[in-house]
Amino acid sequence: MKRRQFCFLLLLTLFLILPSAVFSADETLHSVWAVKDCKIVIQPGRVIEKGVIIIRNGLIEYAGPVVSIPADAEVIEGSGLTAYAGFIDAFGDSILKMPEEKRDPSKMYSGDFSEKERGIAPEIKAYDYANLTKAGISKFHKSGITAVLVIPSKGIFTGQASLFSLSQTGKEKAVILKDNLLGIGFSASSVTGYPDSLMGVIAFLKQEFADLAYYIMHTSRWENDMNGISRPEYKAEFEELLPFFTGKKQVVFLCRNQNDIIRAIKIGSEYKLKYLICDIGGEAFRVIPELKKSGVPVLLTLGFKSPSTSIYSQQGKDVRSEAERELYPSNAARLEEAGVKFAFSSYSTPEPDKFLGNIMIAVEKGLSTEKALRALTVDAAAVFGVDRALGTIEAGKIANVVLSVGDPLLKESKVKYVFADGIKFDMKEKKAEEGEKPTVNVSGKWEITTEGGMGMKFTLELTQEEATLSGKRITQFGQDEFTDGTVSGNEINLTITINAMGRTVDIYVSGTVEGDTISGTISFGAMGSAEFTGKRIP
Amino acid sequence: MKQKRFKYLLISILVLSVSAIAVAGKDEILLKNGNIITITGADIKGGDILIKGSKIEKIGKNIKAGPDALVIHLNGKWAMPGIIDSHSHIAVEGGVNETGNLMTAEVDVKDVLNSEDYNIFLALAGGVTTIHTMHGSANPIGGRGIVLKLRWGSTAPEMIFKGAPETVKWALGENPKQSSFSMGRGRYPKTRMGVEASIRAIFEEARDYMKAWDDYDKKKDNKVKPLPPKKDLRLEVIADVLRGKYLVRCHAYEAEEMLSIMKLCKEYGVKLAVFEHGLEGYRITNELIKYGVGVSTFADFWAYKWEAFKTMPHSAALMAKRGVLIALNSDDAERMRRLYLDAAKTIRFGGLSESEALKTITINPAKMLGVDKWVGTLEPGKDADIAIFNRHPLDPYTFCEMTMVDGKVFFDRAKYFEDRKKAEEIKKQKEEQKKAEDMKKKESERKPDENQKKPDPKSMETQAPKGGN
Amino acid sequence: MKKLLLIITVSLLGLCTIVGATSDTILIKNARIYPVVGAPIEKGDLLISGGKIARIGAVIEAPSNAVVIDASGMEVYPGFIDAYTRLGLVEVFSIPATADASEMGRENPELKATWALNPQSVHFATSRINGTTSALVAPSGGTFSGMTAVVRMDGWTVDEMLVKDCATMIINFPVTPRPIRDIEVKKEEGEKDEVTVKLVDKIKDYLKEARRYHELKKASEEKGTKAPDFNAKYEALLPVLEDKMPAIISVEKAKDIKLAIKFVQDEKIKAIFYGCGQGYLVADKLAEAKIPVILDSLYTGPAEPEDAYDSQWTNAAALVKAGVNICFSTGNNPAGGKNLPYFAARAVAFGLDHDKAIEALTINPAKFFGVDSFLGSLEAGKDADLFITTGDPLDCRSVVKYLFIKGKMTDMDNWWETMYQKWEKRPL
Repeated sequence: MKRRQFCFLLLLTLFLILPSAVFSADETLHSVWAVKDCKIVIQPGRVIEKGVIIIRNGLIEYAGPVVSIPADAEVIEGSGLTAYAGFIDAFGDSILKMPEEKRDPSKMYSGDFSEKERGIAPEIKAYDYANLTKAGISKFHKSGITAVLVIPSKGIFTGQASLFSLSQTGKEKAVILKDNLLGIGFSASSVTGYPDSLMGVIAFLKQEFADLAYYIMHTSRWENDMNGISRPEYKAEFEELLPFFTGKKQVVFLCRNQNDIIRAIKIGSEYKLKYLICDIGGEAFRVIPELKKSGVPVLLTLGFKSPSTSIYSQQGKDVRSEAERELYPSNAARLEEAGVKFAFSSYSTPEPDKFLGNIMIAVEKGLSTEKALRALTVDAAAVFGVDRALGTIEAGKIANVVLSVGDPLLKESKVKYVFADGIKFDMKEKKAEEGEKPTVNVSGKWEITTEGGMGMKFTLELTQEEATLSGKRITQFGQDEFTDGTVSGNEINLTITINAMGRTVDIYVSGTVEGDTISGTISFGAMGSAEFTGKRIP
Repeated sequence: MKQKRFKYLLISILVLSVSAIAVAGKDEILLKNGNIITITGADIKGGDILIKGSKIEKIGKNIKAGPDALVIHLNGKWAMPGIIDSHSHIAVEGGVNETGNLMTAEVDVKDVLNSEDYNIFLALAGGVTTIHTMHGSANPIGGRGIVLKLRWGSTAPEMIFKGAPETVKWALGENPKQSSFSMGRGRYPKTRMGVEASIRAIFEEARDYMKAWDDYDKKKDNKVKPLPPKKDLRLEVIADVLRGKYLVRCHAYEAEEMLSIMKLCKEYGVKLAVFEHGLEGYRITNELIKYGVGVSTFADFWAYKWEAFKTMPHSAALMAKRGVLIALNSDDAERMRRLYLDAAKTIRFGGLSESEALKTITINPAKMLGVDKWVGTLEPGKDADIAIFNRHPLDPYTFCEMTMVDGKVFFDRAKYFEDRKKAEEIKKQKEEQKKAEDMKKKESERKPDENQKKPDPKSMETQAPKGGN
Repeated sequence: MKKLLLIITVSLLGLCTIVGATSDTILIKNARIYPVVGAPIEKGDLLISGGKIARIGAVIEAPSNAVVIDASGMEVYPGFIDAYTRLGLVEVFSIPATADASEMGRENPELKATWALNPQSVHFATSRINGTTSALVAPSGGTFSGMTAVVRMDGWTVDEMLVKDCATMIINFPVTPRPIRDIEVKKEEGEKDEVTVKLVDKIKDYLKEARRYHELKKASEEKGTKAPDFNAKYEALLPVLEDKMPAIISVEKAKDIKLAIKFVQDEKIKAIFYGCGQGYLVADKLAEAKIPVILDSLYTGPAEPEDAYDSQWTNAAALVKAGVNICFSTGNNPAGGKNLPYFAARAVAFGLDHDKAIEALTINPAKFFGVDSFLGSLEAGKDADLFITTGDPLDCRSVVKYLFIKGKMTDMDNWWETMYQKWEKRPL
């Protein structure tokens, strides 16, 4: 056997046996950055025309006028670029992957619904269901968003939110605040038991708060005395609710119209909750006096639709279209004029580019650009009490910085680089320019068999998001993940790196997909290649 | 580009115009030269009504008003007290029934009012000024209702009728036993017997609850302090019903269920105020009078259910003639707009007099709702809630032209059509403007070179983004 | 002795007037007579004989065997025709066992209302008390609901009540949904209609099939080719396709009315439109197409939120002004049959001429259903379907004292009267 052939076969075998090498670049090699000569918007109102930003180990080390660059920093040429603090989406659920709700038809007859089915599920945590993907993060980055407050939004106690930095797919590292906020919604399902009307939800909340207060009293009496009185029954639901009910953590009311905002203020002030309003109905401007009086911060949505209960929705299409064109987009501008605190939520506009685009429409309708930027950065951070860590480009804060050609919130500006937790992201142009748009969906499990050599088998588990591919390579010896795959037309390409024979070897897999079969080559560069075929495993 | 002035055309005109009249209402208003139906006695032909603030100051002939008074010439039109609809479900958001539980006294319609329900305006257009809006009829004991004044354009709390007693809605018969739902839930009760049994059961529960609290109150200062009973908002309301704190309004149709519930209420000391619908009430007028229960009913809506079948349009008049307090209600946003037509039917069916007929939509429902001190008749000192009709309100060809609540005009038919015309004109203008712009665009696309030679400053202006006008 | 004889004769005569129903000849005297065709007669007499109107005049001598009704101070009108009802098909809506109006399935043109009509429905007697003497009874449901019948409001059996069987076909037109949001508003003129247009095309296809069926039948008869299998549905549609039977097409919105006019013209069928809540917006088109309109109950709100708050009430006057022929109906609520004249009253309150309203209750529906040769007006030779009332028949306070159907006095007793008279008597 020729030496080369032997090496190739060995490599092939090793490829099938060995785990892949570390699939992403060594982060520690790229933890010090210096952006030089850029315009820095420290925060709206504080601009340095030409300065330097130094990022070290995920934090901003320095941001100010030009200084000498540290020797260990990688340098980014910043002239022509504007740096601003990454935007914070203050309330969204687009990155949640909630399990599918299955409705048991027999329950409709007996009316025997669990609390979860009735929307009473405070124990549901957004953290458990957050799904951070490279492609998803990239979409946010393109609009300058580097942090997102994720919250389940269905039911009465909708669940607990978490604030994530959009820096990596690993939740453990990306999370900034965990379970910091409880959602309280007013919508009742009309088919899943008590309560099934809005007045029922309000009565339910009052009873629940009364029960919580009793639980606290009873628990403390028992714990202090343990004599002469019955002991309380443990209630998991109440334990989850306690910190929110006692004002230790925040609560956010999901308000579908101006009436809900009034209801929320009433409940929030009566039970002395630390509460926020999420203005899903977009009608906060209609209850400004009450908002000012209560001082409650508002998370504004940008759908610009008139709720069905509003007078503007009940008099025909002309009135409604004019209201949705002129009145509802001016929500933020009016709140600014009145001095009400607010941040922005992507709830009604889950696509980041629409979220940003509608903020620009709000600016056209009278919101000042400065206030819009504040609401997206420093004000949003203040709402959640993380303003010491986020929201401006200042030393000591988390390095969530956006570098764009052009000032923020201008249509023609384009984001070039994003730092999230000090990790640099380049904004690539759409993959479609490099290759064609994918015409196949390869997501799923594939059983791959190599030809020649020993005909060995392994499994590829692929996840496709538009044109990017990621997934796992599963052999009988274990499995590992890879990212950086692409799909172009009906061709896939991915790279797997292994350490073999004292070297790091890159292995390129490329294949053509037809329906549920795939065929292609595993290439070892100069060392040769092996053909493979594969079929989708149902 | 800061837009400080937020004024928009169509929506300001069409939507807020009515409250614009209200806001511009003067302190003194003189309604001059109309035929006035006071309900308290004889009609005044060619009379005047002087309104000061929100109250009626004086009614008579040739009243002199102050120099700043706004004078509205009635020119022989008819003025009557604003119509009162004692059974309605408008202005309620998120569902009118709580069906998740059999008894739902803990819910309150006051928590879910929507002051922007357009049906409020449509009711004003039918001469209605006060309504009682409430929980539906899916539960033997449902939630609490509320009396509202139709102050269109105000917030919900501003619409609440101050001083009106609070009400609780009960329901008997087909609706709570869900017999009209073919896919009925496997839920008890399925018979009228079960409906009554469930009411008795929760009364006993409430009595136990009250006792538990009484016991606690006695023992709470003991050395070994007992645990208080758990607060139960539902039983608290039922306890208050037992204590007589609420006006109970019970939806019922058939004679025997009404008789049975009156006996039950007597047994528990509950003050039953009114039967809603009570279409068979004409069979038990003696008992209704004995127990002091009024009936808020329909003029002629019937036969949609079996329990609504054994009745006739004469029912309301027959009950009234035999001494029962009778009101006509709508239970429906559409019927609310023509309650005056229903009143006229009691003249033909059952032979009520004109004044008795009008009482069924004015002072009688006012009495039932406990607001007769303020509304229901046109008298000095009472609220200036007035409906103006082009003909006598019982005339077949009458309709409402203007409605006032608390001395403010909230519906003006002439102005309504003026505003619609204005809105149409603005819409046409905008369309023509857009057409012209589109034509210009097409022109410039066809001949690009010419336009490049001479940039027209005017066309730049029209293409600049427009803020509000 | 002479005195006794006189007393006996007078009392016997009196008895005759009370029992009146037995006599074939009835003279109504001293009434204000409203013939509908021609000017009203302020004070006159009307003679009924053999089920027909024999004579109308200023003063008529009573024939010897005639029952005489002194109608001084009262008015005489032709019996009203309720142009669209479920009378006899539905008793109590919420009890399915009592409801026979709506069959399953989309195409049921061969069903006949007369197959299910119950003459003993309480609603006939309670609905005629305000002067209604005939009604169109219509099935509902699906696209082709079946065939209506014009019946009289009294009779022992359906056959006795029948005025005209298979009077019209019923076709329910699809309804264009409301635009959900602003974007759809812009597309409205084109794309949203597509949904309705597609559904209308389905109806057209069905009629095409029916035509094909009849072509094959004709060919088989004339040229001996194979005949198609018998199809009751296509058979039922033949008179409609041959322009012999009109189709009542129910349609509400202006958009849909325009589509329906086009449909009717394309298919070359005779149509009457039912509903037309937004008819006033396209009144000229309706007039141009010469399509008569049956108005539904006026106890409704505006068809769309863009309409004025009183549009359902001003609609009638606007249609008539544009030259459309209208009539009234009590529609889907047989329990509300007595309200027919009240709807006309609402239309008059909002601008319809009183005379036009009466026409719309009498001669117009008679013409639409092709029964005007013997119904719809007070003319000698026509059937004596008429009533005597104490005042303006559109005024709910007027009382119809006598109602005649085919010249026989109808018993005004009914379900309501029975209960009223019984319970009035309960001691206080």
